[in-house]
Amino acid sequence: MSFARGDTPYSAMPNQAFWRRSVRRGTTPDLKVSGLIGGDDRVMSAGSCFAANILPALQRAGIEYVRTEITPVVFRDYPEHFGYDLFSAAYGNVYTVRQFRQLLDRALGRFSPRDDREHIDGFVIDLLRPGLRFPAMSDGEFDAITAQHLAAVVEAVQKATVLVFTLGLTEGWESVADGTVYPAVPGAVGGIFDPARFRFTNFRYTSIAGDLALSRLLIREINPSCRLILTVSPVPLVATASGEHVLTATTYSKSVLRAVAGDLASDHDDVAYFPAYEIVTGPQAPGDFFGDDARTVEPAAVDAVMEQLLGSAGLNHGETRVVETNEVDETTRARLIISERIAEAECEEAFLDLDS
Amino acid sequence: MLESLNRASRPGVAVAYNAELVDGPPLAPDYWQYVAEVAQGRTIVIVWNGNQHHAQFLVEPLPPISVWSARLGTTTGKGKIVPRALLRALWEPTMTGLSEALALLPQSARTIVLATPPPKNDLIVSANLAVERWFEPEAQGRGVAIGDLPITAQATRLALWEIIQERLQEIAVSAGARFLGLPAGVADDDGYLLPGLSGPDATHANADYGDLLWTHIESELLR
Repeated sequence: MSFARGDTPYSAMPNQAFWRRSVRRGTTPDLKVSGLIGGDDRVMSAGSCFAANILPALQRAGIEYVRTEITPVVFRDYPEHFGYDLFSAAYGNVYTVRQFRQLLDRALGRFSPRDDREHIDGFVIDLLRPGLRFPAMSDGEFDAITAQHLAAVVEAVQKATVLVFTLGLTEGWESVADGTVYPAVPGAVGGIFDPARFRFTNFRYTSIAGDLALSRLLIREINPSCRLILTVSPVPLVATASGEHVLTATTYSKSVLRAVAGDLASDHDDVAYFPAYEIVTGPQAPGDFFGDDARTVEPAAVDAVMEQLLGSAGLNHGETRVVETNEVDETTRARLIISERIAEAECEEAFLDLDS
Repeated sequence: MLESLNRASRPGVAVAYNAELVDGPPLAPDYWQYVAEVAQGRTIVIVWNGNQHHAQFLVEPLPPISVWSARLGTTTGKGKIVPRALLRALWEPTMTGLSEALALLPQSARTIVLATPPPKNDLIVSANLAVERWFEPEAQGRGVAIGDLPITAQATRLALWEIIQERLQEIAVSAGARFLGLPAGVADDDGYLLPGLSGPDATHANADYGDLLWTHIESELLR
């Protein structure tokens, strides 16, 4: 390829390659990624709490959100805490890539954490899901519930055509015994912090890149056709144990995660990076994308992200393509009501007049 | 059972029965206050609910559920494992009244909370439901045939019942009352109500069970 005088490789580049032509303060640039997601995809999501925000918009848009760990209808009035119900399986927030990789390893039966529980007040607290509202009450029950959960993780990956993973943090807390990474510092949500058992770690580029590459392979082992969409959470760290200022620690964390995600996406056709992070935190972002604490991501920001994500699928954010339904199907309802009627009638003899 | 208890009722013993009757004394605001007044120096025997596991789970729910069973050392089936803590939370509203009632009773009363009858095995439940015609209109109205509805597995129903007994015992003990478990010889080796003590429906025990229970209570009173 030859160039005329005055031309450079930039001359023929599209507008999006130039800041002045494609970025304006207070607006969201067109950051749609073609082929990212389609209306017929079945989407699974995991990652930091920002990942949970996509669920309502996906469902409104009629995209099937994979859920394999649904609480039966009769317990509808007893929802889980901390968003465990919001993800495809009840893993809750998965902040670090190492935690994600270990989740997949556990689901495939290749890793069994040695330090995974805490016995407190008659309950067995799951250190990997410390916020569960209804913890097990014995080790046997704990093991059974955990096995069921991990099977649900595998099932979710099997069903998904797309897995959206949001990278949240580089910092984490791990088991001294075997490197099990916890979603939160033990003692913060459940359990007791013991420095002999738990230690801080701040994962660096190389280990995170390795964990993410392995995670991709594990996903493909479960479901070879599942694509991976990576995003980086725009939510700053709530606190750092690195010794740095939380602002610089946040910049380090997000920068590393962004670089890892971008590199993996560049290396593999089945991996894409979606720039939720840039949409929310870029210098062009409207001032109302963060709350007064400069940390809380406001609904306007989530809307902007979803508009771009759904726009990539040719869908309009805010339009309801398929009515979301949480309604209980008639058979399920019938079984529940008939159980109630039988018990009521047998106790109260109140249904005798039905014979007439 | 209530008839049996009433037949056998003796001076000095008050029997309070609460099955969440639609009408009647147990739900009247002053009922338990009245019981507290007559309970001075007497023995109060309370049978509190006990059929919650059937009210929500007699017919197998969708998805089917299973529960960790300490008795079995495993879960009760292949259904969705429901944490015992969640079931306790589900039923806690049905237990609150018991705590409140026990708190009203005077210290001079001797209070006993009774275990409730264990569930029947699947064969008996199915057989009895087949001859109970009360529910056919309800089922037909919802597009299902009673005969086609699967019953929650007996092991699961038993584990659910055990959770209720566990909670009844906890409440009784925390209130300084005694929890009186099942009489000997009312359940088979696996824990299900003996066929000979089954009432003609899906959930109730019969008058013979009531007699055994009363004997059990009398033995307790003589201790």
